[in-house]
Amino acid sequence: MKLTNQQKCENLLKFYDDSENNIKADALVNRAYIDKVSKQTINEKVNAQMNSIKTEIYNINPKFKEGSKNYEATKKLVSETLSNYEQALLDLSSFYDGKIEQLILRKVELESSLIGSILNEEYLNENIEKRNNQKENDSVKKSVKDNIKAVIEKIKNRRTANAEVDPKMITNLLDQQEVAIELDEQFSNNIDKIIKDKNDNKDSMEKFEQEISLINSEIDKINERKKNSIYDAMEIGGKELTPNVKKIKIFGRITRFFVSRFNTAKVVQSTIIDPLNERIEIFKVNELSSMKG
Amino acid sequence: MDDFKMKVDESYKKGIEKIPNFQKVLSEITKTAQKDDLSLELTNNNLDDREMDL
Amino acid sequence: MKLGTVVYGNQIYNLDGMSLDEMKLLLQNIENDKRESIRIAKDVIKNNE
Repeated sequence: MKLTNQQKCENLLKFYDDSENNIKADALVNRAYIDKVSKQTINEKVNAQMNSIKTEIYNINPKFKEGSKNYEATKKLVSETLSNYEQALLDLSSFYDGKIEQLILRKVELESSLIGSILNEEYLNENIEKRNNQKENDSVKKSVKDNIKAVIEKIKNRRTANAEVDPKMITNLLDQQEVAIELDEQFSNNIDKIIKDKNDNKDSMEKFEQEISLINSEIDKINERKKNSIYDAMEIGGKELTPNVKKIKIFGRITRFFVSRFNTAKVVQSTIIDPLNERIEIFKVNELSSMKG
Repeated sequence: MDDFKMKVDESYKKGIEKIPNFQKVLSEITKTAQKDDLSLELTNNNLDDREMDL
Repeated sequence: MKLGTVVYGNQIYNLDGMSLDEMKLLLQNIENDKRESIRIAKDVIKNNE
């Protein structure tokens, strides 16, 4: 079904308005989504770390009671350390989310350029149509063509009558013909320029679409990399920590009589909290600072 | 998020401005979309009048 | 970061209250709508040729 220009333009205006809302809503939801991914991943990791700390505390002293007076100091230390731990992870996720945010904004820019170029395509099409009509129906051209016709008629008549043809008539005819050719050229040049603009516009549209598609996949990749990075951050696996774990196990093998004589809080601090704080600091100094550049 | 919303608005504007003379494009399309069929109606009326004269 | 609300398709979504899966679904819906409306618009402009 062929649409009139008016119908096409009505459709395109609606498309323009709807697209602006969609593009912006998409960007906001996307930004919120990556934020939630970060928070969820960090929560999982912090909870895992907290459970690990609890397990280690009970490994040191299975009889240790959370409600006891001694636990208050430990609770404070654990809480501070986990806060520190969480902050380091938030800084890590910020680094990635910042990159993704830039990509989301670039995508908004490209998408609005794409919408604009679709409208531009219609504008240029209608322009070409208009100019072609003008070329056909231009009144100046018409009168020049009528003049040429009239002069040719006069020349024909004089020849028929075997009368002399005034050279001025021929010159006039040639002049008129030149004018007609120039007018045609002008119209054609204008139309050619618009056709060139149309081709440039089409090229731009393709480039916008390609880049948008690349950005979509890049955003997904970076989001995945971020999750893995958070999961891997500050994990036990370093050589300096294994001896501590072994030490706790050794303590566990000693009779409960001896274990209960140690100040659990102090042992927790030196074997769990301090090494964790150290891991956090090493992480901040090594990985986080290199990310901030 | 308000900060980000502003950045989104700016990026949107930046993208649209990449189209040469976009304001003209938009106003021409709007004009064409709003062109009512009044001119067609008038032509039809004239035809009817002529027929009546005949 | 407080996520706030977003209006889409005549509905208001409270982003802070949404789960990750709900958000992902909303994102996919918006993307699909966008793609479809661009496809339709391209058809409209081709209507000349």
